[in-house]
Amino acid sequence: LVKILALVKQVVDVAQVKFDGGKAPNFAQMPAKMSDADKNALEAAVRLKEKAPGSEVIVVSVGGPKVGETVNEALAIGADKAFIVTQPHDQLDALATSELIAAAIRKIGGADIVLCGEASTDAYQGQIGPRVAELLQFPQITFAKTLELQGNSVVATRELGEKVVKVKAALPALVALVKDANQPRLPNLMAIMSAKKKPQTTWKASDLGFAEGSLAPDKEAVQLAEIRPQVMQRRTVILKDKTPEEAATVVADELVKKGVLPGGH
Amino acid sequence: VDFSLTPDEQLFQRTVNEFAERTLAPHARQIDEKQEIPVEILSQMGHLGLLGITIPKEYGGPGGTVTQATLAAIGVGRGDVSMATAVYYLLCTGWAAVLSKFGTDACKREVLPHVASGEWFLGIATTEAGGGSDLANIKTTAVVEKDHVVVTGEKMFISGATEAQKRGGGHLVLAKVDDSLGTRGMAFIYVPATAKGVSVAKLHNMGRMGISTCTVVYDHVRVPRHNVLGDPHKGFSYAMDGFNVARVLVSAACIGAGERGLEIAIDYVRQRRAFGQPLGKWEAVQFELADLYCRLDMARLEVLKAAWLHDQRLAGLSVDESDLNKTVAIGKLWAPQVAFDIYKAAMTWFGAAGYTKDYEIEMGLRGVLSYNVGAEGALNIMRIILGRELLGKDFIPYK
Repeated sequence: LVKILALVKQVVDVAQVKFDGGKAPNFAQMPAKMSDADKNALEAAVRLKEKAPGSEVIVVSVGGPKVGETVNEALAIGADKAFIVTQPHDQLDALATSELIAAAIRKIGGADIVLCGEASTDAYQGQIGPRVAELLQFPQITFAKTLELQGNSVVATRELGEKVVKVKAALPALVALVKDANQPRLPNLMAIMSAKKKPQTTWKASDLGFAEGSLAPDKEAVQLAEIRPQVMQRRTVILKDKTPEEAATVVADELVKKGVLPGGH
Repeated sequence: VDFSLTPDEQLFQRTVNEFAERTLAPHARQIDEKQEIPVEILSQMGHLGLLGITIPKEYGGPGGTVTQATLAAIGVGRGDVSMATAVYYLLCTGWAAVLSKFGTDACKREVLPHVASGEWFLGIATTEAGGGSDLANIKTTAVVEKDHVVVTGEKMFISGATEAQKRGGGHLVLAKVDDSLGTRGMAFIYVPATAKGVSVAKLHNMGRMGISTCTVVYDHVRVPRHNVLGDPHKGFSYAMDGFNVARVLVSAACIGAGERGLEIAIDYVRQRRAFGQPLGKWEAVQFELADLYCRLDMARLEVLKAAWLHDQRLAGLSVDESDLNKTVAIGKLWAPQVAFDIYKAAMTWFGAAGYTKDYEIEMGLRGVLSYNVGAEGALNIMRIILGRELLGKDFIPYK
């Protein structure tokens, strides 16, 4: 029997984010959803459970007032129970979040394997997995595309750009999955309606032993300079009065000059 | 007044929309051209709990609400604008609701779990060659014996008959048991499409090609007595009760197709430039777009209100029946028309490109037109219902 933990984060649906006057993103009133890669991690967790009947999937989520909606979705998808840690303030950085998650995992009694997304869809910092693993002193496998339990170990393939590397770690371990690790299932209506009946526990930071103010952003450790949209500069060049061959040559030369293509053709 | 969906409904809506976008939409053209909905899609719909949303848990369904069924119909209509999948969906869902409510336990156990799983089809066979709206004058008869009932007659424009023969399932057939009693002498009977004496001939539609429309002949078809729903003399009222739910789902499917049509159109008129500016900057286009959006949004509100009223009634709460009938009728009167007008406008804005099969527009136009013509009550029947509720029964223009 395997005790599988899945870390899920509620994020704003970035596909629907609007920008104030084309400048800062306006997150207020934006619909929320489960972070994409966390959904892959949850799917992987449920698949592990299906391969080892009797195992359980426990969801841990740190979030704001609406995080229950995302947790219910995770329970509908196949998690057995959930632990919610309400964030003490909305300036929680990755370090403080990781400390809350690690403390929650300890309070739950640890896990055989912890799964999470490689990074969240909103800030995309990719810090939670590695930080939680470090705090728990678990071996970690990041950028995992596949994973499989073999005895007391987990074997995973890591997507590293042009290379795929197969690695093995002793359990308990943490595996952070990439977004295309699998196709997350959709919850069915019966599961959606019965999700609320599954056990859910909500903890405050103080329930996990954190004194008020101890999770204030640590400016030394993490600094968020600014969030702004990246403006893509486009340049349109229209080639007139040229044969297709001449035009292709001009385009190729230009791309070489810009460093997009290697020199010489 | 609270217009918000519950968190469960929001999650279900997202799930259906994701299914529609991820699975259904990429197959819509194939469904239209091959004139068949792939089995995998129906199985997945069954798995998601979409087919027969209101079927109680003891009969294999999710035991959901009419509001959930309505949200699903909108999603399915968005995904397959040819409307074939929506027709399949809403027939199974709408008529499973009626079988759940009035059927015998034996019949429900035999049929409903297979419908809920997406394995079997369930539809209705009420219309005859003499007309769909004039149900009081049907010719099909049923002779109720001790253990069996024998059905004889010919039904016309029946959806899903070849699917039910191929995949399993059947139709709720309206038949007269006592000619002298008019609509009070009719039974509603579940007849499997594979029963001895059932023969099917496919008609050739111009749209919603993925689901068959057929003539179905019942030649002395014997089915068990428990296939008769409730009281053998109350079939007409059971059918009317079913139409009142099915109409909400029809309207919702048109809303979904209309939403998708409007999205396609908005995307196009933002980008396509003519005479130096995007089409959407021209008032002739922008104002028509604004009007269409208003009509679609108003229809959506009516349809969701109708679903909510149904749920209130199912929950045993007091509901103004006249308000329910009017709200259902408004939705069925408006939604098919606005959906059609959206596709017509989109085709005009697209110009010649919209007339090609490279875009969904012609498929949506053919699809939603079917609900302007008939199905679950023609548009003029909706006007008659509204007239009846506003003026009184003495003003019904027919006897």
